[in-house]
Amino acid sequence: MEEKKFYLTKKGLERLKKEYEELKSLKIAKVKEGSPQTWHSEDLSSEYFSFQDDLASLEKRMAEIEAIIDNYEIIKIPSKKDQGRVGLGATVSLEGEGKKGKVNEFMIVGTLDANPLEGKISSESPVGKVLMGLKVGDEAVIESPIKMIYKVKKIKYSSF
Amino acid sequence: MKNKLKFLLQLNKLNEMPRAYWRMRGVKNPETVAGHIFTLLLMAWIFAREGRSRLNLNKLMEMAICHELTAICTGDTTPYDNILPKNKKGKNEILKRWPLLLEKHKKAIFKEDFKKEEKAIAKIVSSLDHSFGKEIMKLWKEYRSKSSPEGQFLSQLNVLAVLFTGLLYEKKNKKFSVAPLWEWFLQSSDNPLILKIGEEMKKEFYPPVKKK
Repeated sequence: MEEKKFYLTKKGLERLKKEYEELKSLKIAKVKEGSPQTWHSEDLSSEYFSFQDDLASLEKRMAEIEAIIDNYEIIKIPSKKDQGRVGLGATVSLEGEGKKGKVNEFMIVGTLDANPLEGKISSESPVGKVLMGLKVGDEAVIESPIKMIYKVKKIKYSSF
Repeated sequence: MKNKLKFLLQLNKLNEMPRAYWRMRGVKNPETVAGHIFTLLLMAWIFAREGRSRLNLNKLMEMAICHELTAICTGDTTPYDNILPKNKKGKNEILKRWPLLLEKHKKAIFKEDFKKEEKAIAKIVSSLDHSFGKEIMKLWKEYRSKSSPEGQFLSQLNVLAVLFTGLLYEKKNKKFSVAPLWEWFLQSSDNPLILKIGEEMKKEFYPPVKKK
């Protein structure tokens, strides 16, 4: 089975690498600190379990980041001829149905960079999926269960 | 121990704090912030064990408890706070949709809210012992910045929890429309499990009309 590709902005990749280094230091410090005493083997202390849990979740997250770093692709600005269509990294201006002049904007990113409150939506979200590939003037219809119609007003690619 | 009791007393304020969004939308006796936290906790507990979820359930539940603690200082906030006009007609018009904003405005609002809330959470935990306080701050930050799988999942589950409560209000009061929350859900969600729960909610709350 083909492994999943993770699409990231440069910033997103930097954030992940920083998190990985922090986790690595934390793990070293934890191991150095040592496991709590376990001399009553039939009655292990809650500190011991908590230590093991912490270590396991650190290692799990580190493995996840390693998997992403092994399979990432940086979102690049597409060539001039492809910039007329919505793709990863595009900022799309949309006009809602019957809302002349009311513009909503999203930047389309990979799942790991998405933060809708900041205006960055995932290309795998229902709205993101519908927008991908559209060009200026196209209508995006999302019907699930409320019908929403957006008209693509502008597509812009800039460095991120 | 005294500090922990003080902390608990602070948290108790959330039991009496009505959710601002429902008040804006004219819901009578809406759920409180504590009620919302409880709904989210239940949803995390019930759904995060589904399928191939590799999330840390304990962490997720602790994060759910922490996710709205900042309301103790900031009051409950909504994405409409900076954009609603004073007149009723204009207000109702904007509330029909999930906020329509330029990307630069969304970024600026997010940055400002994040700063305010970061200060608030630091103040709230300041009476606690260092490691407990630090743990709460870390969980809140991971949620707010979606910087861990649990933070990403919980922020999407939070949207679903608000939608779920909205659907209950819509069921009770046909004049109340949950459309802006569907719009929020469809922009915010990409986790397959979250999308699946959303589909189930749709079936539950909008069953197909049987032909006679």
